[in-house]
Amino acid sequence: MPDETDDASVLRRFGLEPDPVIEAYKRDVDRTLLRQNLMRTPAERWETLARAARLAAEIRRAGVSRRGG
Amino acid sequence: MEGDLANIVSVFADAGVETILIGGLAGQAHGASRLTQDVDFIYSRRAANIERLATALAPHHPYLRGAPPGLPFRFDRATIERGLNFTLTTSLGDVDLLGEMLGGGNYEQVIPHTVMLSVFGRALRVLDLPALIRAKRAAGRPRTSKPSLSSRLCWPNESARSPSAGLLNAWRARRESPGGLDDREDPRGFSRDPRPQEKINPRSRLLARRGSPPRRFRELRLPRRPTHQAAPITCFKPKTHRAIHPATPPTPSRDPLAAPHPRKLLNLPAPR
Repeated sequence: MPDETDDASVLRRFGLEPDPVIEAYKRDVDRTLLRQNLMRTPAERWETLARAARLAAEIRRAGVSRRGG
Repeated sequence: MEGDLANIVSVFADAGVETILIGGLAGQAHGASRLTQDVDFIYSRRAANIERLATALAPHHPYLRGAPPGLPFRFDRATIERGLNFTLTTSLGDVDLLGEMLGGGNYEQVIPHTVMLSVFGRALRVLDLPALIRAKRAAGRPRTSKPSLSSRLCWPNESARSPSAGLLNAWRARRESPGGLDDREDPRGFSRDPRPQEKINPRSRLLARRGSPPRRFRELRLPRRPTHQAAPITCFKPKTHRAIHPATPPTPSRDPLAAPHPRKLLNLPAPR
């Protein structure tokens, strides 16, 4: 019995053949983040992005400050 | 503020959890522009630190990211000791906690390769740039490893500010030949002469020696940095630099017939 959680099996169920290039790149993508985002509403995704951007901006500022910029 | 990913820094700092920021946000500290939505930390596997980590995250409902809801998952000391790397979703945001990092090792091994930053008033230990590059190369991801085009544009490498091997060999050959290059000349276009020099493309300088006309554009140069400072990470395509030329202002018309007669300017009557 094929594993239902396997992406290739799911694609074949819908009549799609998995693309080898996508499969090769998929290895390095944290898909849990994508799935977590898909569970959120668009507004929640936007808020999540804004919070991440706020932290990133502060870390970037700290890095620039340390480099003496 | 509850639910703010930025709070994770103060949560760990206030609880005294020994962590090192790695991953995309560490890249941000060194000037990268890629934005990630999760925070990656290496944590110390010492028992006291594991206890502090579990206590600090407990109020923020840590749960396995991507796992179906309803699992009897508890992020406590026993769970952390049994596991190593955790990809969590919390009420603060998505947090990755790694016991070991590919290309770096564990917390104690990575500590010499970190820098301290002040983030939101808290001291935060961040992986330094060479170690970050080593880790990215070790991960071997097509999007961040050296062989990919995007990484060449987004990640600095050691040869980014040095002349290419071919250019250097050509310069050495010219220098050793009779009547070759002057000692003061440098293949990178820099000169030991303290007088300001026209900054032209080093390749065009070599071409000019060979009799070819130099290129007409001036190269847009970044100021030189001391060698102990890391090169800034630029995400511009090389051609973008060349495309930025100072625009030539339009020259005013010198046609004397186009100018109005002084009589008109002074509103004088026409001569009889």
